[in-house]
Amino acid sequence: MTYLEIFWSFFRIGLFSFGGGYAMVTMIRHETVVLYNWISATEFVDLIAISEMTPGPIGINSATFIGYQVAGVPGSLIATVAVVLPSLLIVSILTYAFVRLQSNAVMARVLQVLRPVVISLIVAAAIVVLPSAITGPGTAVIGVVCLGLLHFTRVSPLLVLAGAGVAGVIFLR
Amino acid sequence: MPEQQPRTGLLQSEESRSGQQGREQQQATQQPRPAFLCRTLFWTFLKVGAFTFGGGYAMIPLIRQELVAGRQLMSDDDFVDALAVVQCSPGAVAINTAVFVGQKLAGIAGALSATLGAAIPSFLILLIIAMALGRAAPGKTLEAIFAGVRPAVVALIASAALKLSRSAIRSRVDLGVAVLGLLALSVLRVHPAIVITGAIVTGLALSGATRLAARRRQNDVS
Repeated sequence: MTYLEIFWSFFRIGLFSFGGGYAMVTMIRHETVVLYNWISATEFVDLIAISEMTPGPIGINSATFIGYQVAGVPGSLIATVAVVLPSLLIVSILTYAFVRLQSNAVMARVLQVLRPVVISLIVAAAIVVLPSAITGPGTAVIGVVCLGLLHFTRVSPLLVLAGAGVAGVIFLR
Repeated sequence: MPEQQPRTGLLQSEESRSGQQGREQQQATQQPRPAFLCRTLFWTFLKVGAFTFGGGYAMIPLIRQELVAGRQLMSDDDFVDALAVVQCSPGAVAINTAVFVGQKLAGIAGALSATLGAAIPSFLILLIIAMALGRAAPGKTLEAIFAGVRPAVVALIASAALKLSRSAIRSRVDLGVAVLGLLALSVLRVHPAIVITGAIVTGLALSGATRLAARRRQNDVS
């Protein structure tokens, strides 16, 4: 029954986590710490720290980690599939409908308003990350140099990330 | 499900590339094969999944580089539309983008390939960490690496906004809409889903108003 509980719990987490990222943390904590007691409150803080330092969405990170703690490798697999499944179903259906309606005149008008709003969403995301990322002159310089490279040259974003990590070791230690 | 031809993507590739890549080009100007597309989607999103630090938005330039600038499978407009749909749905930005792009380019098989690619890196990494969990605190060097990466994440997100604004913001009205949206999100802290719903309703109202005006003009003429 543990497998089933893991599945439903992480399916719920995937289903109700609008906003992604940190918006998910509250939901994950409620399910796994408060409701099911799968990990302790301290372990949960460790998990968030690990999630920050490893790539990938926090939802998948926590599903894999907690699933393993509760029921080994099968548990981690079940939790990961469960947390992704709602996205897969909902976005697939939305995309299907979207592609069908795309050439529609009304839809074209809606998209005209929606596209600038998407830009505001992205800028808002940058503003959210800003205070914890730019903490002094050193990090500010790294940020500005990276933005210059990304905007004016064709350097790969991956190279920029790697370079920033190296710069951190050299200048920020 | 047959995908719609990307509006500009495939045509551009014919003009902008030359010589050496002739064979690839032929493959690209014809409809790319589903199996080829699924493989491309899997590898693209595997890369995205492996390097998504600091939340889903930071990977936008990476996905754009792969799909719009590199392989030209989508136009910038298509890509911005994808981000709108992604924001309306629950779940991680990286996974949702994978599902949308996969589904649009190659149907269900594409959605599955892209999602699998996006999820595998963090699954494997966290599994290894969970298995090997020694309670060692992160070292000074690791902390320094992340202190350096974090500003790069902000730069990545800002560059995504700059690049995409060229296709999404074409007039002063568009700019006004974007500023209003930003105020609602950052100052008033309105939920993104509500802001997007608001934009959709506004668009519907505008298109209704345009139609009404057109009908009235027709009545005046006749």
